[in-house]
Amino acid sequence: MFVPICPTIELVLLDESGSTGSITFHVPFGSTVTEAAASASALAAVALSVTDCVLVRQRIRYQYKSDDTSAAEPGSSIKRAGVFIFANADDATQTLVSVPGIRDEVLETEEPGTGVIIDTSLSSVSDFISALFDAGIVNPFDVAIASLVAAYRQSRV
Amino acid sequence: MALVNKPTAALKYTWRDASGSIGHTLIHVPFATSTTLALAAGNAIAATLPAISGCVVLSFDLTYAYVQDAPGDPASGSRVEDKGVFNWLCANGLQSGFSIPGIIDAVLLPDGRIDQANTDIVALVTVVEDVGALFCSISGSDIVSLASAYQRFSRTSKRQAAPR
Repeated sequence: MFVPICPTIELVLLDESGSTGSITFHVPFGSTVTEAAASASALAAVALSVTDCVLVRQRIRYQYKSDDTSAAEPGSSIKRAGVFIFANADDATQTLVSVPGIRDEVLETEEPGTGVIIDTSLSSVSDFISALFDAGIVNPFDVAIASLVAAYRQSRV
Repeated sequence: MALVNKPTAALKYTWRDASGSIGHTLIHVPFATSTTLALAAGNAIAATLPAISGCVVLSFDLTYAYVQDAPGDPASGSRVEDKGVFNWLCANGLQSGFSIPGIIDAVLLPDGRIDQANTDIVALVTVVEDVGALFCSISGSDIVSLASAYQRFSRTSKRQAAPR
């Protein structure tokens, strides 16, 4: 189960040398992005008058922590990733989603994809893919994913 | 000069494997997606992950980021390592704090404390303490009063150090 912690606002400041530092504080549970952004603006308005750095970025972060203390399975490795590549709705770009520690059980057991290709007919895999589509995921430029074009195991260091 | 939001919000899962190494999965949702919908989707995706990975998901977070489109120039001599530390007393009796990088000398007392009579500091304290319930501790406890405020120099990291 995932437990929420209070949302965080972060104001990133830049100094003359090019280094950045930040002011990080919390806003109440249930704050919307609009409300949190207003709080960040209110803090920035007064904080910027007592610093000689300048504001360059602002982030609003909502975090959920797992209360499950169980360990990762023996032999699991983040370098052994499952890579899911989606064609985007613009027919020009693709979106990649990487899942560390992909299980051997979800890889195909027949050639030519033995041990490499992810078996998308498995319910565990299709549930994951469906959850991504249901979430309405997009690429970083806000282009929606349209279809899965490839899924395979890859060593990612 | 304004803060401009990125096109998307980032949903990031943090994993740990058997060796203790940490990895991430990063996906994006449209910036206009409400936190309610995005976090529900985040939980729904998280629920499907144990069936396809042997690593454990430690946490996930949803970040809405903004970038200043035309930032001004930092003042001459400004350094983020020169901080003003503000510790706040919360309604639950615990403390919560933040630091302001590049604190200006004009708000410091000779002994290194922040001058709480300075008008800019008074305005800062008023916003944090009194304006609605804008701010709280990590557990959600409201900020009640300023407990302490002082100057502190943090160590320069390798990344921040000047080139040699």
